[in-house]
Amino acid sequence: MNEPTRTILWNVGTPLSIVAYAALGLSLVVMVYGLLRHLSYWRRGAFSYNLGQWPRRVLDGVVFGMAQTRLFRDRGAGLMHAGIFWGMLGLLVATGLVALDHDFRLGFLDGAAYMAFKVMANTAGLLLVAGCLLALWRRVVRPVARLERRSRDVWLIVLLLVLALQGFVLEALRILGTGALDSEWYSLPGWVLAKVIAALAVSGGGLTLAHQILWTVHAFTAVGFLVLVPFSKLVHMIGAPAAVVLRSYEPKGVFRLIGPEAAPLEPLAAESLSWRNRLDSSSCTHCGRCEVACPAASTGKPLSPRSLMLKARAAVPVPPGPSLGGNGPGTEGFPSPGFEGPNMVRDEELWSCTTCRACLEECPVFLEPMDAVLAFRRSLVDKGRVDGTVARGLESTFALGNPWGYSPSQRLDWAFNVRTTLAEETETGGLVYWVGCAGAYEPDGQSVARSLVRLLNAAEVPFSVLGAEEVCCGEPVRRLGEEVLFQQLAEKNVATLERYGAERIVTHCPHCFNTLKHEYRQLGASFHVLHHSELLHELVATGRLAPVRELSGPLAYHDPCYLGRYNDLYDSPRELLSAIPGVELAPVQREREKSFCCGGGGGQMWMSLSLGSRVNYMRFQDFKELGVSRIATACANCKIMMNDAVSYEGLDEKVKVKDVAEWLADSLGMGEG
Amino acid sequence: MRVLLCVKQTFDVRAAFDTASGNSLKQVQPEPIYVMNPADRCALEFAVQLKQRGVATEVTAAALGPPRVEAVLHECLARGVDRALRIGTDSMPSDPFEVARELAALALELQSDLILCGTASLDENSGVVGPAVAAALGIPQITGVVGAECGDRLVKARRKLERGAREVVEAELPCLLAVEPTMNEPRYLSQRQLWHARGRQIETRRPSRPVLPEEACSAVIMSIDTPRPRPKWVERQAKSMTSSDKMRMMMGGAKAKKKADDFVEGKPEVVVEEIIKFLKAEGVLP
Repeated sequence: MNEPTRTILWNVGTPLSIVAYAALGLSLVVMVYGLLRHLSYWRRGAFSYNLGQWPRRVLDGVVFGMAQTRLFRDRGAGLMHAGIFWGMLGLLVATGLVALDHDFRLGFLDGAAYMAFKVMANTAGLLLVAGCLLALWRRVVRPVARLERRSRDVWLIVLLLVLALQGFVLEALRILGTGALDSEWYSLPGWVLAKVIAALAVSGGGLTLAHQILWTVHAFTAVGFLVLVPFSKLVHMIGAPAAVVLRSYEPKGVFRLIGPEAAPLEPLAAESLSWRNRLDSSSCTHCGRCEVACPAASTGKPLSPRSLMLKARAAVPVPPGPSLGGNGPGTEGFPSPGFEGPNMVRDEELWSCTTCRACLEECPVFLEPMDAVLAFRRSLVDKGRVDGTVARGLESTFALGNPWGYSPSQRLDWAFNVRTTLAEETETGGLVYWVGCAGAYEPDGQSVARSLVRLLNAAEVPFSVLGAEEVCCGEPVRRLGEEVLFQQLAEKNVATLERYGAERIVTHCPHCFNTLKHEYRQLGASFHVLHHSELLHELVATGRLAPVRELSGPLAYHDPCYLGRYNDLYDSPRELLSAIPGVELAPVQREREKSFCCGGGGGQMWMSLSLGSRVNYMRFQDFKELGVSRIATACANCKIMMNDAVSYEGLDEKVKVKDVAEWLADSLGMGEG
Repeated sequence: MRVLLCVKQTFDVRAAFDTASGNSLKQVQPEPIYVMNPADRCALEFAVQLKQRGVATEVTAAALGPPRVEAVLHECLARGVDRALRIGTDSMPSDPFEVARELAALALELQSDLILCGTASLDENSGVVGPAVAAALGIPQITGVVGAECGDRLVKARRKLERGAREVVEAELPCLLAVEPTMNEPRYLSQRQLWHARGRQIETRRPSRPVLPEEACSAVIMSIDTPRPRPKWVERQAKSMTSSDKMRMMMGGAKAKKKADDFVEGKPEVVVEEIIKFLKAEGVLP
């Protein structure tokens, strides 16, 4: 009895152990069946992106899947989940080792090996208990705001906690029953419990019976747990690591290319969802970080990225009866005609998205609610289910090459008092200034274009513009879901740019920048594209532009979504602004990756939704709090939206919103005033 | 009920025109920009709805012109008409009576019960073709239609009169309806749907009589002038309008009134402040 070891399945008679093994076998069958159902749902989804780069994927699995670094952005959540994760993993390993030792008769669990095994298993059990307690604290005692108040989430944690505690009590009873009370100190929790039970003087017969009963209960609790996995949010144990390891390594701003040969989809058809969208819907644990960051959700629009994931999961048929996955009767598609209910995806939800990417940035396991929004939008547009204003915007982009409905011949009207050269009048190659539709037609954008041109001329940088040969880059069209029109516009632009042999392209619009640089690659082009803040920064840094006039005082910079989260360009606009004498960059509440959208992206300019409050008004509060009189943007959309917010607040005289190029031009004495 | 839908491909008048050219319409664009006449698109939408409701058994779309006109017929097919045919001419016929003659001949051949067309075209705007077709066939015509209900033998249409007035007219089939571009809001047709209809055939046929030379036309455009732009005085944009509404207002040519001292806009808090200041200044409040 001094040799550290134990009898596996002590006190469990053969009949009971047969029943237990049978139940385990059956539960595994059910679990695998349930998981296969999810897998088949994923596989039936459309193609999304190519996989590859497996070494990088393995590393991501370790960093994001096991170390769960993104979860730790909320430290309490990170600790809680680490406890449950490592606890469960440790116990799974322990169970595996026992199986090897006993069922496969390898018989190595004795001596030092056994002691190590017990220490590991007990530590895992303690971690699990700690994690569960912390989770219950976060849900019940001090509820975290972004978590939903669903009793089923609490019961799942209680189930895990009960499993762990059952384990410890069983260990204690076994220690007592096998007379290991003096020797098995290394199974610390069980040993301590055993001491307590011994002190309560439970006699031999009662003890073995208690052990058998508890063992049976524990076995069936474990079986119940296994069965629950595919039919509850526990499926994220499979889905989430898959989501992490199978994530897209395409540049962030590239949306799925679906050629015209693909047939038009029915509105909200389940076929709209790619395998990735479907995997995402299985892997979401409803943590709500996406919803907190979402500008639409924050302003009372019906969109919540989290609940869209929930609704997408409704397409996985669930067995009839109450399900802890909680999605009601099984439905394939959204919705079946006549299906009304909480899982119905509504058109307004989908049109509320600004494509700001905050939800993707926040998700700990790289899920992509925004991609599901776009997938559904495509299905709505395919059959023309769009509002009049959106239809007009799309139709005029098709007919006139710009969503504003202006004449193509007016594309150079903005340049009436600055010197520009048409591309067709220069020799091939060189720098092309891609003006974009807002720059060409919208007053706020036109002044940016003029400032940029003045700066380029002052720095003697030769460039050309395309004039009436420029058509919309297609970005808003694609975000609205008109994929084929986007491809037509892109092909036209690629042909024009290649015909002129454009070596470098500079644009002041982050949307055009993102599309020209990344999305046009899908059509075989590869252009060297710069955002104007990068180019201007280069000119200032090399002394070709020397800002002299002071703009003293605090200046707040608003990170555009398409420059920041999409292209990781946070520094050059800031460095550019800091080069202006007297400028102090004010500390904006939500900046860089956490920048709050201005509300102008995702085709929002052409929508007249009046639900909830305005995203730009909410964003403006961040600047109003700072009390700054100067705001800098690097995007024409952002400038329009911020100006709108300034007007609404009645602060037109007090707060000036200008593009970085305009502030720089002011400092060089060539501003428009 | 057999429906004949007459459509025209016109210049897109949003794209700027060269108005110094005297009596022909010329666009100032690298390539001419054409579009289906908006009124005709409403007629198309109405025809497709009749088909979907089972009132119309066959809808045929017809257009006159050179091969480029097939673009609008293609759109008709994508939206759901049964047949599309082009009466081929070398250039766009400029005489509306000639056009009417061809369409009337076609209607007779097809034994159409209902003929739909737009009230007037965006570019030439003569408004002659509809009535001329009806006159040639000796059937009733209802122009300026903004709403209609069709039965087996009768059609009841609402006509647009001035200043919002409406008139309801009933006529026996066969009949011609010339519809206004405000009659309905045609559903957006996605490029994907258009692409998937590209396999459908468009029949071509010759005109029933040779096209007359321009000198022999019965109606000739003498000159085209642009009117002096009249400023439209409207309210300054409400701050509570969405950006897209403001944009549309601006594009519609709205000019802001000079800011009156007693006109305040903005957030409720701002407005209240101004009102209180005003009332104090006027001595109403202490």
